[in-house]
Amino acid sequence: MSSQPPPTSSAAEWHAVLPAEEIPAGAIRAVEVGGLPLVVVRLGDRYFAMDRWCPHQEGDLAAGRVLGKALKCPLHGYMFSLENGRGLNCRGYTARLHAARVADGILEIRLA
Amino acid sequence: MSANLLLRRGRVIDLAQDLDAVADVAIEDGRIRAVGPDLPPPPDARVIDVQGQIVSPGFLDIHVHAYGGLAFADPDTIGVNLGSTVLIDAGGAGAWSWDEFAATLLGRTRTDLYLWLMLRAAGIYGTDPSERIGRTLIDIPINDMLDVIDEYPGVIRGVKFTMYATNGLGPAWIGKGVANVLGLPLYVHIGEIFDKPDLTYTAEVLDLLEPRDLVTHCYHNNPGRLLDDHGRLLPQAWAARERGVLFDTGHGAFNFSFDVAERALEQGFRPDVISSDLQQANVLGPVYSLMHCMSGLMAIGLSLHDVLRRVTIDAARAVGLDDRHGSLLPGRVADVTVCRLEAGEYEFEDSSGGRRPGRELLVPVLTLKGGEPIQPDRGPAEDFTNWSLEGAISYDAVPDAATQLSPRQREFIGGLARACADLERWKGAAIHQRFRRVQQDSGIPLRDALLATLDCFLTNRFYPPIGFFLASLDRDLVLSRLAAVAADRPASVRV
Repeated sequence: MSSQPPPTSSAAEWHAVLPAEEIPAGAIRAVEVGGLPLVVVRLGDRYFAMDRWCPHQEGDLAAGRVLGKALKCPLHGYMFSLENGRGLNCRGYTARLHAARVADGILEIRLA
Repeated sequence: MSANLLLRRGRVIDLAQDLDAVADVAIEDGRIRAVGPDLPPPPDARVIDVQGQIVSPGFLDIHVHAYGGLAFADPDTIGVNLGSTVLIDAGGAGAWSWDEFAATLLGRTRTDLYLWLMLRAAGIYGTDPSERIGRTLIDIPINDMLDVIDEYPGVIRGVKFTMYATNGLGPAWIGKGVANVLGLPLYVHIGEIFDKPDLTYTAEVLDLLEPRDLVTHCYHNNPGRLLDDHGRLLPQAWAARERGVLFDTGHGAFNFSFDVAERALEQGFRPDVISSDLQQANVLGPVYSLMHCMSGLMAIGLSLHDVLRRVTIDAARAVGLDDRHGSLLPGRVADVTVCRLEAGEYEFEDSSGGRRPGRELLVPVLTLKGGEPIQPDRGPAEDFTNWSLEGAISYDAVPDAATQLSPRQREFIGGLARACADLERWKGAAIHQRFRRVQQDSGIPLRDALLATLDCFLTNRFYPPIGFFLASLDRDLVLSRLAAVAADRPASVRV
């Protein structure tokens, strides 16, 4: 599995990313937080942030698809739970999740 | 005994008999009685109008993952439920896990199930390189493999070997030699899906192969493909074909490229067999189903006859099963696939990011297995509980099924916990050996032991090879869970 680049800012810090309304439900949005490329997914009123590059062979999850509560990599169809990052059809691979919340209409992410 | 049937006025395409005509198919006592125009219905027959639909011998999908860590909870969901009456599992079991495959699945599916026996004794789940399985002669138990073939004649269609360059060419020679000793064809995976080595051995492997051997993933676009850097077919591929070596597509999530397929087809290099490589990772795309793969090949120039032939009579001949599968000859078991060509605007994906538009999609309408009608349905194949082994693992609580074990099963679980407690290395091969020792010493049937152990961890029925599955879990979780179940403490949670 690929190594994870260290975040360049404090992991415990909440970063304001963008207005939450700019993320349509079910869409995948590529963002960068503290120098780290992430994807953000909105399901209903919940927001999820995950490392952008697939832990299998670094497929671009921003070009993937949301299926149920999972994000599917466009390269090999590997699917990762948005709840816990676990590979659902690729045991042994886990995508890193980051905490996401909305405060005053702004999506904030705290790096893991 | 199944009900008698008459399929009325379908477009019957049975290329084993050079037949493509509007005709009836009469089925009596689960077998084909006759194929022809305006047949009288057999006694008490149900008549099914299939006008405008294609009536074909049941499809064979010679490369799927029906058993093991890549497989589905219910193999029928990708078999008869999607129009395939025959599946061949590609290496889910090896000599060590063969009897687990037999105890859990064999004879328990509506779809006929065969196997490419993995050269690596653990089967496809045991891929931990640190165990060096498949890289040493001592790990290939030829005597066990011979016993397996004697015990279940006909189920194993060949030996599967995965050609990965990091292991060098030696294992390919070993694989070919083992297949010769066993008197079976070699079924070779080509293509570097894990590493990107500078040096690959596809050309050398092709030179090793003999008539009846098969190469799968013939249109992949990873290192080790069948095309050279200029897009020309390797001369070794042509030479192998001349000798009678066969090539199948094995689409999969890693192994099919429209670019490569088009270049090969331009040069006249067609696949001998079309197969899907369906597994957990690709049933929601890009593979979806065997019919979807066939439709994708039609989008780049193959005809309906081309694709049907390669999943019926040609597939049956390629795997030595044409005496019972692949045609609608009178007297044959009535395995029939009814499908239709749906016109529309479609886009087909390969596994290299390529896409092609298409105007026709093959869609299953009805499957007959031994004359029994089955209504195809994609839903069960796509259901999360069917394709996610990971999703079935209960990490926090003892699954309900584990509270229903018999006293003998619970006793076995206790013995397994004790036997595994002092393992120095938490590795699949070692756990496999301890499991077998406890099972044999206790006298509990293998199936009962397997189901009891799986029930301790899984909320759905999946059948991964047990030692390697347990090795994939956290050691403390396994040992504490086994102890809790053995002590009948169902409320116990992870320590």
